[in-house]
Amino acid sequence: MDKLNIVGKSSFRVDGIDKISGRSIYPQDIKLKEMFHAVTLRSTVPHATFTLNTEKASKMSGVVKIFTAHDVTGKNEHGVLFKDHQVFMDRKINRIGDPLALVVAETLKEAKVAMKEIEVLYNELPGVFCPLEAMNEDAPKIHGDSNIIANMKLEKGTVDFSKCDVVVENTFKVPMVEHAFLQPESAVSYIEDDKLVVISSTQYPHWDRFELSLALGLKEENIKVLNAAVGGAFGGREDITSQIHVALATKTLKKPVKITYGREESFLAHSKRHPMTIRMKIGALKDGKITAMKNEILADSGAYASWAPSVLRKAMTHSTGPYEIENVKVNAKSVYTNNPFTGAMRGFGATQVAVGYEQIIDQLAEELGISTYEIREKNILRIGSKTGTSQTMYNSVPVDRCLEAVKKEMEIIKKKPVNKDMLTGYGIALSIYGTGYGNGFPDVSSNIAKINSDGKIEIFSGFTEVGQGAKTVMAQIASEVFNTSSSNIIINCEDTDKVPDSGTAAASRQTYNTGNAVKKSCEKLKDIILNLAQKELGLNNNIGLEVKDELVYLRTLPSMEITFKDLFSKYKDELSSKGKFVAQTTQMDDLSQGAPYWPYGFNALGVKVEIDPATGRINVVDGVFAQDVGRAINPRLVEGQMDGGFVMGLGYALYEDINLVDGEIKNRKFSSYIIPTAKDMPTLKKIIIEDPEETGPFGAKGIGESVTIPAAPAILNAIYDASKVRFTKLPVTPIEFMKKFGNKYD
Amino acid sequence: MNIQTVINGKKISVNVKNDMRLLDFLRDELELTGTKEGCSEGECGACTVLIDGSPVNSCLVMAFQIDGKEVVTIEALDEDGNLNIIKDTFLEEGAPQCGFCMPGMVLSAKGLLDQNSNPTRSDVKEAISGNLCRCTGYTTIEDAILKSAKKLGGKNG
Amino acid sequence: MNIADVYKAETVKECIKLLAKHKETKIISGGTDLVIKLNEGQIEGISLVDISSIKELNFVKIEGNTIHIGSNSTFSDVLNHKSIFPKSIKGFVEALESVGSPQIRNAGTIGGNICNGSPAADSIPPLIVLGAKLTIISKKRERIVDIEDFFLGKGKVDLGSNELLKSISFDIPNEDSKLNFYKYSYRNALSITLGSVAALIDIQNNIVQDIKIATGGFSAYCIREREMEELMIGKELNEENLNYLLNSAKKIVQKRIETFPNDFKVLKNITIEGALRHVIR
Repeated sequence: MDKLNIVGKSSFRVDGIDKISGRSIYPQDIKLKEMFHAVTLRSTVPHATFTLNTEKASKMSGVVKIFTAHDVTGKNEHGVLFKDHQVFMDRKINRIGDPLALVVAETLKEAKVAMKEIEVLYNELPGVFCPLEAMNEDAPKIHGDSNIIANMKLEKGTVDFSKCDVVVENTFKVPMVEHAFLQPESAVSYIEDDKLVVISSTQYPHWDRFELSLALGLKEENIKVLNAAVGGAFGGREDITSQIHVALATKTLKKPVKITYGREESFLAHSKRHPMTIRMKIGALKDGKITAMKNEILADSGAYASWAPSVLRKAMTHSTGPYEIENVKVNAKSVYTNNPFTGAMRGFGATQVAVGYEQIIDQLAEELGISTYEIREKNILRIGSKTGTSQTMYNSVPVDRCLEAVKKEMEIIKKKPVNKDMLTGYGIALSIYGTGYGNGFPDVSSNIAKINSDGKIEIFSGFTEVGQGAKTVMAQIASEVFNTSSSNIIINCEDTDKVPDSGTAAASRQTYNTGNAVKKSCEKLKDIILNLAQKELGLNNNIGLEVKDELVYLRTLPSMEITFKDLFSKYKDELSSKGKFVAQTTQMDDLSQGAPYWPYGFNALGVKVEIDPATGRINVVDGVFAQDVGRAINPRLVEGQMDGGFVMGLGYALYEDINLVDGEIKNRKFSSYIIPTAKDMPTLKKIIIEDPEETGPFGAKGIGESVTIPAAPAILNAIYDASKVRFTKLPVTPIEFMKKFGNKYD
Repeated sequence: MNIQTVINGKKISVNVKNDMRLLDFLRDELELTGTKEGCSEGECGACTVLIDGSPVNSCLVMAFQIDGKEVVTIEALDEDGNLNIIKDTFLEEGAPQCGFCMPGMVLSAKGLLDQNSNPTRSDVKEAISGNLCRCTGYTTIEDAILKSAKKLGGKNG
Repeated sequence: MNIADVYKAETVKECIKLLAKHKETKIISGGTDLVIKLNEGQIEGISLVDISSIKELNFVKIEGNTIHIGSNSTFSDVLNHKSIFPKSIKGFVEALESVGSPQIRNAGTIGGNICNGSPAADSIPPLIVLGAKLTIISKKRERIVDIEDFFLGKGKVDLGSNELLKSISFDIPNEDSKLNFYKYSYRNALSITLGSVAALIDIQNNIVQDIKIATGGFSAYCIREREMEELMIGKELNEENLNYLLNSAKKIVQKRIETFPNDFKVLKNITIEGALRHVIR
């Protein structure tokens, strides 16, 4: 590959200084003239039919209109895979938090006061809150006549544990957890030139526009979605929340309307991470070679499907970890219950199963009497290996390098002094994550690259900056092609009227998919520029023409040059190029064999934990994290993802758990739903492993989800090392630790 | 209630509603929207401002309580002070991701560095322990504060 | 949010006058608890008397062997004096340092922490073992109450609607004593206490000469644990005696929560045992 000038440098974030200075605009920061405020009435019971009486409330001071299911102007439904959500409930309530009505008033206070006066009469139905019970014939049904949303199987070879020398099994339970992005949902809508405009913070503006068009009964071209700054997402902004509600109110009332959720409503409104019960059985030969694995996965999708089949598919196909296993059998089910609905969250099913496979492989190593490194070295995927779906790993499989880097650093960490008052333990974990929607689903990103009248390069693509740094990455890719500073690239990604669809900011797909589309379109535009420059400069061909800082020059005679600006003045309409990238995956067969995702990213993590034997307080005090990135477009952004992914996994391991009682979230505040603070985060040594992916832009892969996966299993393995207690249920709070430690309370 | 206060160096005399929190007063009345609301219970620190130089959660202070006090928000133009240096260093160290916690983090950093010119990483962790961030793992933010201290003249950073 | 009237007091005199004149009032200073309740609508229709500007109640001073703290001192104000505090009250300093976050410590006052009467108030168990006295003033009189007697029930304290807590005073313990504090919580910052224990111990030749224990989170309010104290006085500090205390302490706590769910009982057993282990040393 040619020498790279911009890619590989830690350019400053293009959105950085605005965010630091508080100048970035999130929807809650927007105030329009004559703007109404709206609040959402939500169900307080998990399963019921109901009647509403809004008469008194609608006469309250300041109330403009109360919207219910009758007022929905299009189809009263939405949903990412199935249209099982309703804009406002009209039949049956399926969970606590289902939207019943929207109170629109002149002030927020008036809207809140009036909402209390809406009478709701519930006719409660028996609910089901346990996914196992939900599969019973006689269980209450949430939608249709079965609660089973998806039932998948995967079979490779023949699983026969009698042929194994050592067999280990265990059941792992991972909790429902919350994205806890810092910016609660907010949306503002208004009418502009007969167009309905919706401003929100979303992971996918074009999809929102499609859902809005269905629910409002408007054509997509009559709706414009503007993505404001997004205060974190992690999958929690994929299912639509307030957008249809504000838009419907604006469409009807012809006035600007704003909705902003408080923290508690945010907990109620969006999806959660699927809790799963994962039963694993694994067998190996005496030499440590794993030959068979059998897994069963049961996921609770809650009241709505959201991404249930896709999450389940990712969990199932990733449940063998980054290991080559000849014989595999997996059964995976996802079911409806009356719990809060679950959907996308960083890792998308792959995070949950790693808690299992990375612990059971440690158990297997212990049974075999070999080290946790040796068992992994013997079984990891390498070039030419086949995954559980029999997909061939043909390039960029640096699991071995990740593992080796961590092994080396852990030796140093183990030599550091230990606190004698504490139990000390060390643990490692590896992980695998396959990029993209997968399974042959068209996974498309588009970009238009243009030169503007100032001679600057502009890129137009509907990707989303959710905090991961996508704007900066795209700017760096474009600037690399054009040999200019990334701060000279103008990024347009927020306005559905201006930019083509580039899919969702999810599945770790933006750097890979949209990055490829940006690169392609920029390269095409560069060719156009060179050809036009040749014409303008009166040259025989374009050999030796080079671009730099928005001008074209002849390398052998640099004084022969023409600026992009001059080219624009003459060739305005020609200076535009479209690039499209479609990821290559195949639909799997009935036994889930095929090539469902590409590319795969890997990592290895090692941690040191200290446990107070008197209280069970666990601290991660040291660690090393090696991450395969293909190629780092921006190393600092990569490291930022590694730290952030790790700390989210730390919360998963030690603190976080949506506490449900009959479908009700009991801890829906930051004072009761505990996420890590700065004082809980160790200083990690971060190692970026580069092994360029042939199909990636400059060799890059996405890492946004991969980085969160190994934290929980590595911490659990370290807890085992320190205490000899194997925790199979997350989170390991001090209380849970003390219950098991010494078997005093179990 | 009529109050006399100083906001970002500017003296103002203004009538505030009895039932308004400082956070609402800043965002809704003064349109200083850099101060963010993340939890409304003093847990997340996104609404951190300085009152008489100390970081506090503006969601837990009533607007009338700033009578006779001085408030600094992220919008402050602090030409001779250290706010701009801290902001620039946050950019250099790649501190922000989604950005929602940033204004609060910067003000907690200023609160620390105004008191302690030579903080350790542990001091920094303590100073931002009331500011939740879900994106960064705090590391780059800590790095930025330590580097700011160095730039501002502390010895060891 | 619904607030009737707001009044600002600049002096103690103004404050007690306002309290005497207006019914249905609440005193606000740091606001770290009250504003949440107001914002959530848990408290409505009351008037507020803002004392955050009363400078005469913001002090920390040592007079002879006694430390006096003005009720309007924030946790940070008190901690700013930690260099003049004797080593023997280390646990008091640690308790204040464990409060919420820097933002909460900069706003919340020690008087507010006491007057809320929360069973989880971090500053109270150390003050109980220190035998702190509260000076309370109204328009008509001034009185002194033992902090231990101040708490009447969950969130209920011995403070009339016309009264103001002025200051907190306690004697510095003798040099042989040390004050240990442990707060049991889920994470390292911003943590609500699951249970806390303060112990003022005088150990000579490994024999517990004297001990005072107070807990937070094991009763409806923070209390002195005399029954636990008696089990240790005069005893040698060894694993056997400590285990006897821990088991007895669990029984003492369990008696108070007999009707609670089992999970909660287990939680309290674990927390009392862990916290005691940290302070009896």
